[in-house]
Amino acid sequence: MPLDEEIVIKEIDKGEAARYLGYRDTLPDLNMTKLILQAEIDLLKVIKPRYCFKVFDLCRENDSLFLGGTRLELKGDSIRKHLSDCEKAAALCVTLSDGVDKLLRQNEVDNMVNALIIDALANAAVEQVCDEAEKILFREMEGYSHTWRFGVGYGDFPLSTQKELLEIMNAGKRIGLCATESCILVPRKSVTCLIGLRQGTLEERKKTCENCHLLGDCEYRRKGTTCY
Amino acid sequence: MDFKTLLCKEFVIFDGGMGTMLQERGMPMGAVPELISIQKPEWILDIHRSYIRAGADVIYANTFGANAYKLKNCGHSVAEVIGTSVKLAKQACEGTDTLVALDIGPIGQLLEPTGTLSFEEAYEIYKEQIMAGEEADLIVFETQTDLYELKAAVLAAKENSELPIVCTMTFEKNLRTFTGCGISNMAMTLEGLGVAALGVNCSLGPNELYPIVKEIGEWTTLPLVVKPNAGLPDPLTNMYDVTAKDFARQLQDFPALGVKIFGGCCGTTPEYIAELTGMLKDKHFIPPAKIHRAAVCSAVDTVIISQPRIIGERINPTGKKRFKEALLNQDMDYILNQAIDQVKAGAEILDVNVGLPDIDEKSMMVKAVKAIQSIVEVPLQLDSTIPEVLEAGLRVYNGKPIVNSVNGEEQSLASVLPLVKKYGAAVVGLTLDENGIPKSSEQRFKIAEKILKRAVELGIPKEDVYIDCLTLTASAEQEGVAETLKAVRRVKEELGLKTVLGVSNISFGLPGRELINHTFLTMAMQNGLDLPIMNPNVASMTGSVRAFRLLMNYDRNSLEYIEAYNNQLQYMLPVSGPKAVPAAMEKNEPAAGSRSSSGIRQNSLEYAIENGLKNDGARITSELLETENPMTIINEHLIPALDQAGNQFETGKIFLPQLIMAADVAQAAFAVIKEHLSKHSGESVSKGKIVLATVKGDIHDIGKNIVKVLLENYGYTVIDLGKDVDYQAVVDAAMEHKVKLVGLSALMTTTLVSMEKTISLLRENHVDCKVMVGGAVLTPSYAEKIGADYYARDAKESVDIAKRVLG
Repeated sequence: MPLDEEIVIKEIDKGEAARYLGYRDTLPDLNMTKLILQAEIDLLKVIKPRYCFKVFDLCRENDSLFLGGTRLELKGDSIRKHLSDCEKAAALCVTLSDGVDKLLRQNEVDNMVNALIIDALANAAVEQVCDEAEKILFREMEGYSHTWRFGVGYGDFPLSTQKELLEIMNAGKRIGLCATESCILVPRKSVTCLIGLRQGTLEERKKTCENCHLLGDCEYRRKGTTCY
Repeated sequence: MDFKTLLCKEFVIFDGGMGTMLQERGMPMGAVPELISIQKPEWILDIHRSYIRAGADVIYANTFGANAYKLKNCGHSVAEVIGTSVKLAKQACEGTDTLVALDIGPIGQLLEPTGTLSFEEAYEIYKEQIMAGEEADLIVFETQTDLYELKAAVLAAKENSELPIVCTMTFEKNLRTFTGCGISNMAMTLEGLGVAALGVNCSLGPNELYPIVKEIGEWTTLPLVVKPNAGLPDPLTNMYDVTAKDFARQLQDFPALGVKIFGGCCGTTPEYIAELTGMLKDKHFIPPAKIHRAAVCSAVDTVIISQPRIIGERINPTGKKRFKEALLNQDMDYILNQAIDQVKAGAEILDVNVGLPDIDEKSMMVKAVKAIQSIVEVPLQLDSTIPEVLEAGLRVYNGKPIVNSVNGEEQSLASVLPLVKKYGAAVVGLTLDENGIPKSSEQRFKIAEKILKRAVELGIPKEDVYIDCLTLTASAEQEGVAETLKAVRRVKEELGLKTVLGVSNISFGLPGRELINHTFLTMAMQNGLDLPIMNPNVASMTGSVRAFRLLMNYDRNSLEYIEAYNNQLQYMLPVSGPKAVPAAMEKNEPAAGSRSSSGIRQNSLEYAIENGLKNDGARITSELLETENPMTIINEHLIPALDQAGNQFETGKIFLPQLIMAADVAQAAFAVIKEHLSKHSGESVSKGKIVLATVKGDIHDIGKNIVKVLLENYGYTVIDLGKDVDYQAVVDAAMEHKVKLVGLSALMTTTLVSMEKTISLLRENHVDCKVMVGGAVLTPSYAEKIGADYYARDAKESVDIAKRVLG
């Protein structure tokens, strides 16, 4: 069994990054494409993907849902609904590490356009790392079906869960991931999420906008699309 | 028994994992392990005793995470938890010679600039732990990954306790920590700060740690510590894969690396320590084979002074009107751009001088050091004539810097050298004294000898003393040039010290200064100059150093030289005007004579803005300044062109990066206009001041910075307070600068409350200003609810609002 399989990102999903930059129906022009390609080279040099995951039994006591073996209660209707058919949940923490933060700081000082592009590329890259980490997880959990990744802070799943989840995952020590007092993940290009697991099959649930706090004023929906 | 005596033993045994043992006894995941000292003291006593029985000479008290941040809301104080834990450890040691270490792990929050915890706050958190654990026999900082945080910890220990300090950091297989700190960086910085032993713990098993420990030994003479994990954990079960016997076996080659102190980390138990103790019985300690070399570092970069290295001189207000202005306005971006430009041009170390009579140099030095280190990785040379300023800079510097400077005057020696020693820096010694600069090389050599003697007496290693034999102006003291060179050669050859020279002064008062400068530079290098302080942006100067390194066979196979100049002939041309733009931006020009889609004439400022041509924008602006007045250029060219870009953005014809690109061109044009005005008059082109801040608790800066770029390019002066800004700081800035508009940004639902608090504090203080707010999670209705005057959906709208409020 691989004990510390490394995740390497060789290419970033530039189409996704362009979407983050606002390009939906249009493709970036030649000039912009060149900048995106150069930014990708710069970013790939500093990305250091790190991840950790752990699978918990889900414990239901009265109306509350807990991660087994911990005191962490999963509050909020949206996460409870998300995990309602599952007997286990995996917590996944992922970060591109703080080289990206430094590259962004530098570019925000001397080249805002690059900063913007790097920011979008990094957002795409962190999702790619999540995809790769999930693959490793699912390989370990053969025979299980899974839900999509439910981010801490998404819907009414409180962002304040962040600190306790990081503590349980020992994420500071394992992958250098911490949260600030306001529960913002640092390094910045990072994700913490829960994935529901169920032996056998699981009825597929599509992502929807219904739980999103931006529902009323969403930049994507205004333009007739969604963020997923 | 004390730790110093203990180190006289052949080997010293530290204990193994505590968390592992607690989890075995049923501690739930996510619980605070340090509270077990209060809840189940018998568990802790039992664990300690089993490690003592296994052979541990030092046990770690159960205090790893007992800090103010992690214990918040747990109902127990730091003093109580640490006090109890240390007492338990002491109790377990009764009747033995075993010592108790106050064990301190990372705080659990990242420090600035990536996180929000300041260096000073980190110091206070550690100080509280150190004071609470004063009954321990030594202090151990372990599992550290951030050198900066560790420096705060070590300073807190040194300044609040007499106990010896042991530091272990956690490295990955790539020989770096999570934050990118390298081995040489750790070893040089910590040895300089005066710790008793250093090494590694956690993250990897003994086999994987071997190359890491080997490298540490090459950078320090201190006793080495190694506390590996029991191999690597299974990602699913978190079980470790190395048995106790294998653990000991894998460690048997470590004594030959100079390791004195052995123990275990995650996954190890008393069984592992017992095996380890048995294995070491018939081994012998061999001191580490440190290689003595002159070097300085940041947390990430190490510069070994084995060949001429360029110190960039541009961060210095002397004779620079625009720089002085930036210092007075606390315009950090200007200084940061100077840093980035020099590093891109080839500077390997940056001199930082922010001395100006009208400013608080001490706080400016702190601000500058922190800001520069947040964006570039080269080591810094802290430059001031005031010891207090040097000390302030030395405290917050991450790594091992150079102090510029001490000289042969008694007062200077007595005040500067102790600082150099305390903070473990290198130092530039100027060969002058009470009687000024001696004319002869002989006299200068004597002063160099004196400085070296005094430094060594204080315990500063000889390789950390660099001598500046002082460049005199050739036009005034022509015969002095040869004396300087002679002194350089003697210091280098007879004292064996590295040498420094400020190069640019040589040509003062002469025409064709560049020619004199780089000829002198080459002569000086040939005479033994190691550290030229010079303008790296002048291609012929940096070129001389690169060519010298090639010709003297430092630059093996000419790799560095070829990398710098192959396909990049433009670097050989004199640099003038604004900085270079990525080639991709410039190559996008259509055929000559064509017009753009909007019918704008090519080679106009409007065209440059529409097409993101930064260099053209600056060049055309300089040309326009010959015929038009600055305000006309702004109002009739710049702003209409920006408006046009803004409209295209609003209608979805162009996208945010293109809008910002247009703004960047306008910024380059503005820079030219500002430079022009500062040369020709004191006149201001500002359309008014606006305070911008990302609110307290929030660190999402990019949105605010986009707004800033746009506002500045519409001619507004932006007072950028940065991110994570205190409520009061916004109020203070708004009052001090009498602004009419404050812009606040927040990106998280958790920080919207800070936005609300900032607004109400502005209102409570009756600050006569409008407030605009923006950020991803905001809605117009929420903006209204928290009392904002305007909601800006995007950067373009913030400009519309500014126009409405300020005109």
